[in-house]
Amino acid sequence: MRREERFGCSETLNYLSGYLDKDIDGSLYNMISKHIRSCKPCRSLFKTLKKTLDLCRKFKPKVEVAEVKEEELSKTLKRELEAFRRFIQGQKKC
Amino acid sequence: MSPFAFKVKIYPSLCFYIIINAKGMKGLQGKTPKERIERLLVDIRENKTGAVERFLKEIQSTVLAFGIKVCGGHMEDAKDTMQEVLIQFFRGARRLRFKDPKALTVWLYKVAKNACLMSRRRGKYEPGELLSINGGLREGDGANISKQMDLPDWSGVPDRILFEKEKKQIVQRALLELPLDYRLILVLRDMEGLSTREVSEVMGISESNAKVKLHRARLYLRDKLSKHFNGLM
Ligand SMILES: [Zn+2]
Repeated sequence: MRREERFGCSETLNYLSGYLDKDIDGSLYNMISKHIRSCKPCRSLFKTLKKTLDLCRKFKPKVEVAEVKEEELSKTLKRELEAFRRFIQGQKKC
Repeated sequence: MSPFAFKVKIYPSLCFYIIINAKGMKGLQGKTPKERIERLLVDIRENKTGAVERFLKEIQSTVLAFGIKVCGGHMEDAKDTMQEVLIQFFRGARRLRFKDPKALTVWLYKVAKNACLMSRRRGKYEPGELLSINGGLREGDGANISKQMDLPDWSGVPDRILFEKEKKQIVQRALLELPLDYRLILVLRDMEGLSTREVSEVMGISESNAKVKLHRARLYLRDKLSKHFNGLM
C-alpha cells in the first residue's frame, strides 16, 4: 500500500525499460500501467521510448555483400569454414 | 587482389537496406540478426543444401552492419577485419567446443565486438563514459517529471515519415553520440536482438549492470531523437 502511495513519475522513469521488456514483476507492471494512464508526461515518455526501440529494431545500415564465389575465398578461411562445418555436424576428422 | 576477395562495399550511412541474395533466405524475414544467424547454424548442423553458403553471406552482412552501427562506417580495413572475425569465430568455436547456436552467436558477437574495438580509430570526440539515469531529460525531471508538462509525444508521427532515409541518418548519428559501452549494449540488445543475459555475456558484465546501462542508453537515444522529431509533429 505504502509502495503504491509513493509510486510516481520517478519510479516510472526508473522501471520504464523493464516495463517495455516485460521484465518486471506483475504488481510493479500494473502500477506503471496505472500511472501512465493518468500522467501525461510519463505517457509521452513511454510512447516515445517505445517508438525509439521500434526505430532501433528496424534500423539496418546498408551493407552490400557480393555473391561469394568458392574460388574467391582465402585458403585459410575455406579450411576453417570446412573444419567448423564438420565440427558442428559432429564429424570426427577435419 | 586482396586475399580476402569478398568484394565488400560499405556505404557509410547513406543507404539503409541490407541487400542479400533472397534465395534460400525465406523464413528469415522479420527476424533479428541474431535469430537469422542461429537459424542458419541449425541449417548447417542439419546439413541442409546450401546452408554453408547462406550462412557465410549472412555472417558477413551481420558483422559488417554491426561494425557500422557501432563504429559508424568508418571502419578501416573492413575486409581484413571481416576476415579476422570469421577466422577467429570458426577457430574459437572449435577450441571452445561451442556447438549450440545460442552459444555460437554470443561468441560471434564477442569476436565482432573485439575486432571493432581494435580496428576503431579513437575519434577526436569521445563522449564521456557516464550517462545519468535521466538520459537527457532535463535536470530534476527524473524526480518530478509531471512538472514538465511540455514533454512532447512524437510517437504519433506516421512511420512512413519516421522511417525515411534521412531520418535513419538521425538514428545513426544519435547512436554514435552514445559512449561506446552504452552504444554496444543498445546495439546488441535493441538492434541485434540478444537477450539481456546474452548482452551481459558479450560485454563481460553482470546482467543487472547491463540492464542499468541499457536503460540509460535508451533514454539518451530517445532524447536525441526527440530533438529532431518534435519538430515533425
Ligand atoms: Zn508521471
